[in-house]
Amino acid sequence: MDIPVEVTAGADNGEVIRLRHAFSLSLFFNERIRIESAYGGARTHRSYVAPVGGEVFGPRLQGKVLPLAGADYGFSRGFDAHYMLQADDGALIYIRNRGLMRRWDLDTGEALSPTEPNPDSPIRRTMRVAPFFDAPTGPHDWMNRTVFVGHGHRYPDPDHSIFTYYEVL
Amino acid sequence: MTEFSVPETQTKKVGEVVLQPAFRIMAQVEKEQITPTSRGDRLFQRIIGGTMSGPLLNGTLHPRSGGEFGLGRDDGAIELNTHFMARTEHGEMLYVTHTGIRRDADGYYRFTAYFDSEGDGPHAWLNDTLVVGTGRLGQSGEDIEFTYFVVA
Repeated sequence: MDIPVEVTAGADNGEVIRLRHAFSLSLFFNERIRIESAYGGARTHRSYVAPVGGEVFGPRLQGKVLPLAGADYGFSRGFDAHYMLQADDGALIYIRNRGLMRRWDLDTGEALSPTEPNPDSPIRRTMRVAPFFDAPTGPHDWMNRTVFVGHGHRYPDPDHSIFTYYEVL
Repeated sequence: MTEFSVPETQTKKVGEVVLQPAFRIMAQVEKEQITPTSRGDRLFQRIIGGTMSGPLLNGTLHPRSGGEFGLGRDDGAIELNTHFMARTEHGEMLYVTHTGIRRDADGYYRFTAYFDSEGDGPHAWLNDTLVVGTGRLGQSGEDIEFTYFVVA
């Protein structure tokens, strides 16, 4: 946790993008509710998964997740969560956590190529997110003016997810 | 319910992400039109056309199929809100939308992009891929270069 993780990529036209680890969230759940959807297509169901608690940790924000103050209201292939965070200084910060599932190969632990449409190998689902925040005027308001991306992983016993967010520099 | 206490987390680790250059779009746009509204300045730039090129996607923008509908806020940030249609070299239509932040004070122009492509087409992978991008406004105000990276 002491070392900021930074990832950089450059495109042929000279554009460079950098990601820098900002902070992470743990979210603990005690139930998952599923609504079967009539939409069909990619939206076979709608879910309701509310956190009973969690922590905010990392270099740029520390605090907690307010219990039962929002939920993931996702659908089959993506999720769309609303939570309230409370920073250690008391500031309340709204997060809208929008995301997509990504496919990983269980055998190698590597992400499957995004151009591979229908893999045969075993997969596990994990999450890629692009959240945005409403933070009050003050020390956290940089979050309102910054684009973030991140990832999430789900763990059992107890049921929880860890999201890690990167600032897009 | 009883008060929940967070267990000692064994997973306070920072996972890796990988960035992969994907493609770029050279978009021809009309000059920005500014409409003051009760929510801020609505900044409209119609996208007239353009080209997509790169390792993962090639094609053209469907003519006059959308634009950038940013909202200028009091804190100096512009909420990016872009919608347009593109046609790949294989003839598939794609819906493209960006949400993000532009800050004119320091030239920051970053967004995430979402795509709807034909479900069983060669670009269906775009539908569940997180894509992040940069924008660069041309000097004339009549073009924007968007550069896209897959977050894998």
